Amino acid sequence: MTPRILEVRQQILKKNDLCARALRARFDEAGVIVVSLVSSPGAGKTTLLQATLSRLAAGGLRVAALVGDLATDNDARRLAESGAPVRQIVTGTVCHLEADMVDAALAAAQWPLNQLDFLFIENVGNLVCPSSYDLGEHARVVLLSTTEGEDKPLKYPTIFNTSDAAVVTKLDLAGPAGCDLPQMSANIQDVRPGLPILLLSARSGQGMNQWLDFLHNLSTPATQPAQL
Amino acid sequence: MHETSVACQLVDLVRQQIQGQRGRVATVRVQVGVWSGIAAEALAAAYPAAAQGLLPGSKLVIESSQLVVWCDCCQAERNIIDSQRLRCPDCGARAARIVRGTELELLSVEIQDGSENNHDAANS
Repeated sequence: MTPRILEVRQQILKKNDLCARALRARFDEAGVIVVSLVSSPGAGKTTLLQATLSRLAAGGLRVAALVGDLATDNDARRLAESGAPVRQIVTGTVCHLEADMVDAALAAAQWPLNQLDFLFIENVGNLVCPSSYDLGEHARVVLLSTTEGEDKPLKYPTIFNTSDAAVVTKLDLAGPAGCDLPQMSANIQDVRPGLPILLLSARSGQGMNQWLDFLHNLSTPATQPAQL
Repeated sequence: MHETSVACQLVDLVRQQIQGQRGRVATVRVQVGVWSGIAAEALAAAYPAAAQGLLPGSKLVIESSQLVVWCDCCQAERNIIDSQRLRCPDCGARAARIVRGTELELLSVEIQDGSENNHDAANS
């Protein structure tokens, strides 16, 4: 028997993409700005998020966070100290978040989305796998700490290329770590020309105002980043 | 390593596509760009386990696509080979627009008629 060919041409991760699209539509309707954070383990996602939640809440904004973690609830507990509603997504052995995990976590949390200004999603610490999965966020922000080495963007180009902004963290440690910041920025630009780059230290507070400005600008429709 | 999860989603998608079709899936053809975020070898390694019992005996064929960008300066498509930098190999300018190389797509499914043969094979 001769075989027959069924032409398909569809995204392999179509199911995730559809789920993400539905989430984004819900976020838009509720008027909540959703920002996801990705980085390698230890780059400072939780520390930045802690400082961000506290500052936004102090400014009268309503914020919440979902946090992906392989096994522990340490990050969720740290974030809850800010007073913001936080829900953990334990991924078990899964090395990244997928849109349906976000959907399920939101259903379980039962937050009224239309009463939130910002929702943050902290992905599992991993620079490889999260790049393939749209979570319905308005902006994906990739973090890179000054202690990680300037060539990291070249080693993990896909995650930088699919992000809407890069944040260089631990700016206070740039000197002691011998980090060449211009080189690091050039490498980021080489894998994603035109990507906005912010430099900050969540610990010292340096650069935090620019980061908050960036977040506020996301909430005005005219400056919303185009979805990739 | 999320290739296992991708392989499972690929198998699900194929099963969805072949609903109502007679015969068995012989070949699943996919396109994986070098900047898809997926390692082709790892996907190939993960596929048999994902397909086991669901698409028995099917073969995965991976077509790789290299990175191609649009250079605004040269007004032309340029291949990026052996580099992680989105720079035009001719003029050196940064090229933000990726034309190819990020695909992660199911292209086609080859279906073989002859379920009797299968049945015989299972009984022999």
